Amino acid sequence: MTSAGGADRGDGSGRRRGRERTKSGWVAALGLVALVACAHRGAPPSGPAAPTTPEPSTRDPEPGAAPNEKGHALEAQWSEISVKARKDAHAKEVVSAIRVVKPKLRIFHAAPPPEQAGDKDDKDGKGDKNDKDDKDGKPVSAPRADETIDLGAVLRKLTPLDVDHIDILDGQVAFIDTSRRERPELWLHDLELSVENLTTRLHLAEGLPVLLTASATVANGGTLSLFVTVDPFEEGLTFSGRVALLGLRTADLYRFIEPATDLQAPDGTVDMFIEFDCRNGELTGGVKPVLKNVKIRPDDKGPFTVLKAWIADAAVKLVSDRVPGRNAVTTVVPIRGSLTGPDVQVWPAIFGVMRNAFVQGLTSGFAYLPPPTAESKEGVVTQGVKALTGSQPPRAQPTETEGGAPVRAPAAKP
Amino acid sequence: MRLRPGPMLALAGWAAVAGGLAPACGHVHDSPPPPAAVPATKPDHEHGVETGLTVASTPQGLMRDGAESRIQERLRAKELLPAGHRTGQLDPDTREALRRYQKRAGLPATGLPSYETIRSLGLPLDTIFLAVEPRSGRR
Repeated sequence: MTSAGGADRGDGSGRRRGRERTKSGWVAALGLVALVACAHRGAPPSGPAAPTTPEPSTRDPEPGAAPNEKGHALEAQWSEISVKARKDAHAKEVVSAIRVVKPKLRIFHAAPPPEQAGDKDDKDGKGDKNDKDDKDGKPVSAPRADETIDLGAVLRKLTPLDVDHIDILDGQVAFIDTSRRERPELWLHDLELSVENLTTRLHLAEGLPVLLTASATVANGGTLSLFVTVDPFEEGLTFSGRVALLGLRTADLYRFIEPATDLQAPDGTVDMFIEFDCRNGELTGGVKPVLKNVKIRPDDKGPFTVLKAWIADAAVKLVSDRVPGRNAVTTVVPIRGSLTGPDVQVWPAIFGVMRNAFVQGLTSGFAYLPPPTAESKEGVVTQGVKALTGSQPPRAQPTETEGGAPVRAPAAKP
Repeated sequence: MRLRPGPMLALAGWAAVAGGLAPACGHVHDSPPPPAAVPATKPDHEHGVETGLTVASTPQGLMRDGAESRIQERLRAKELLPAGHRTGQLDPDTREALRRYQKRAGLPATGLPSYETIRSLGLPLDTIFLAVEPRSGRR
């Protein structure tokens, strides 16, 4: 929230302080909005096949980053920012409008090395020294599932503030996954965004919720439309929204798909419809990806890749809805969850929901690609047991070279 | 001619198999296209328990009855919609007209009815959106 600034000092520098107060807020909002289209975490083609040998612990976590990009999380530039602040009798200070013209953001993502990620919660195995146990021996700092955040109470502690609207005109956002050598990028441009009624007092809201509306072009022609309403004064997180992404060309996802699968999807488009609704922390909704006229082709002419592409293409055709004039694959993935806990914040929660929904939608949309390859050759009985019990999805079997060493085909991660 | 039961049963079996596989064949059928959006999991709009504020996932869910017609009327007056366009819905033409208006007014051109767009069109917010008196005594 943009209202995270300090208390009013009454020194008459409202405009300057308004600018300071809201600067980090809109940058955060911009970054979070951009995460809507983020497909790098858990996306279907989210990485090459697992290595056959363990990698050294000193491996570069950002192999896709240029030397001057190492360690970067965000780069931003803009051509114009205007902030209008005024005071009125009702509140001590009111920041009425923030307008950002032609911002350009580059958001970098690099997954931490596995050993670091695994140790993130407990590096020494003794727990965080800042954690203090309560009488029951449970860590006090650990969020409990039944806790809800009273956002209204948090807002009431802040200075009365009414950000009437934050506008972004003609923005550009790029997501760059530097955790992979292929450096997949996804661009949002023509971003037009408006967030309105960001008040910290209920009486300033005029009986209306916070409203976020946005539109953008994704890659080379996908159109994104976003509508979200938020009631920040409810005891638990309460928001509702819908996202529609139309006509994203699968060819624009080449760098996400090809390294993981050796396959190309040069023709076809993806539509994605996401609806979500959170009432007092209880999240429901659904994602509906629609693949239209998607054709899968091999990246090389190797017999295995050609066969894999043929199977994938046939699978896409087989499950299509066979509507005249198009060949579309549809499914609906439900969204369910609980957004509670003292650390849950509304805007990260909303954009997290949208990002995960997008990734899930892509994942299910491309679920018809060939399965991942097994670590070692499995017998017929083992494969049969796994398939029948559903303990693991069926896996392709590795081929063997002349030397006898198994060669694992690059796996598609559904 | 008398037909033997064996071949007849085999024929019936193949017919059943073919019938079972028919839905998975590659032929084009005249089935209706799937709905364009995710099926709604909640009513179009709901009110907050504590505050009474309306929270909705669609513009229609946040707007009052007839709000779309009032918006279209203003857009027609500004010659952004044809005179005969009176659908009373936020259809693609109306959204495109809104987008053009927003661009002209220097607002984010989302094609969606934002509060600022409605104010700029000269319409009171409470005639378009479901504004409520907050229920609780919170300030």
